[in-house]
Amino acid sequence: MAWFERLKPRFERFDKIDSRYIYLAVFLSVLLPLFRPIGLPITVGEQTREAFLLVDGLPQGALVIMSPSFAPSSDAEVVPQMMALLKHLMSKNAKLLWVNLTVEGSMYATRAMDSLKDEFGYEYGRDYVITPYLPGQQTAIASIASDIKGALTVDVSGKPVWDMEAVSGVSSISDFDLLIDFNTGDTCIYYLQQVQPKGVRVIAGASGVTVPYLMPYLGSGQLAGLLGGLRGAAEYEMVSKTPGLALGGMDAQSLSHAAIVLFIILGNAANLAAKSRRGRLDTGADNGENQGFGYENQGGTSK
Amino acid sequence: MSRDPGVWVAALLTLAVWSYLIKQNLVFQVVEHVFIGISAAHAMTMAYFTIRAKGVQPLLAGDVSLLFPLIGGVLLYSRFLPKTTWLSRIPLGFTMGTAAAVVIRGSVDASFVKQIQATMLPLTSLDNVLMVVGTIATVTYFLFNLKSRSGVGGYLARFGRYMMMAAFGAAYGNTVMMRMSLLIPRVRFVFGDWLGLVK
Repeated sequence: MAWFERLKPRFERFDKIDSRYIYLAVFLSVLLPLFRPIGLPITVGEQTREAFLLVDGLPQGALVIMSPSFAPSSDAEVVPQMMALLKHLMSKNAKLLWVNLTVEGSMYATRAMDSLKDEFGYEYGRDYVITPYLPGQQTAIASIASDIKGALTVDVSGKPVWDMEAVSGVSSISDFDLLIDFNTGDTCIYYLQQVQPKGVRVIAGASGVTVPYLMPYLGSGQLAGLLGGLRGAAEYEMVSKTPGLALGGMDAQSLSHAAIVLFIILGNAANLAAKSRRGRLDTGADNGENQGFGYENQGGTSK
Repeated sequence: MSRDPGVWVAALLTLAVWSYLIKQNLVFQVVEHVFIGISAAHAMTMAYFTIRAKGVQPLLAGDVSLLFPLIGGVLLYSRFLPKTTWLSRIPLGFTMGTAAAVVIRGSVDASFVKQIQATMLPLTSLDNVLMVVGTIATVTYFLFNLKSRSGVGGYLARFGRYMMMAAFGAAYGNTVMMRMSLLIPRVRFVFGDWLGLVK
């Protein structure tokens, strides 16, 4: 390729670039759109639309379990999702039972409800209940699935949960119309394994890293909707027409992704140029023949 | 610029963490250790209050059945004394047995049978063809006892490898998206909440 040969010296120079320039470029790609928003277009993904349509189709006063199963390290991604979904649920007067599988869960539940309860006229006990931290992860979820009234007895302030108006008519987990798990790990899969078979539809709000692990469950129909990362939150804000923090950060996200894609292309071009100069492309050592995960010749397999 | 001391502390700690991008330095190390210390203290405090609320208080109120898990919990620490190490195996075995039972009950249907069912699709669209062929090819890649990697098996295994590479690429893309999602609110906090430059 003539153009590659022509640009090779420049690519080779890029191979030796100080990585701090890359950090600076990515930082600026995040910072500048915050000062001057560009308004790049956003499309709503199918999985977010499915989640929206499911929530939108709930009857007034539907019973919903909210499960904030994330830690502060994912706060920036998952809280905007939670707030977008919560606004939509509260506009439909959903009765909310907060189940907390992480120690920080009840803090997030309290914060979220305190910030929105006046706007939507919600009252603790009548419209929502927050339960304390329930340790055990999958074991805890299994106990909720088999006997929710036995697993969750008191709320965060020690009052009996099932005497409260919001959930007084519940006899089993199957009485709930929807469960929404905001997660950064395996809790959503545990809910799909233990609770979804009881007839409760499950939506996940997940951090970006978790999304690939949940996609197979979305494809199989076990997961009814999925919000992935800050992008998922922005899509939900857009489709539900409730602009919030996530939409405001999308320009920065898009530009930073563009910067990273550019650096990946430049980095690979630099790597190719450097290899080409060393003449290694012709030796066969790195031409792809030996690529793979190293399993091919194991277990008695001959190549 | 903010007058809230809490915002100042958070902003200065954020800058201290970012300073690592320039080079390793003492300020970053101090903040790193403070973070680890606070995390450990938080975990210990939460564990203490959880055991007190879920175990000790109900036990004192008359729920004797909680005596067994509480004793089991204490026995876990017997491994620190060489002569009583064997005692820790009792609660450990119970925990592992219970966890295995719960996992198997849920995962066989939800994560195995239903996932296989989900790949049994009519070959009526490109998506479905990719799903079916991709699944078969990826499983073929892990048939290590294939005598030869040539022929149809070899092509399928290679295609399976490409499918996995595409999946890893998607996972990496999502990881990048997450890192950027974490950075954006921090930048907004420093330049907005602290310095008041971004609305």
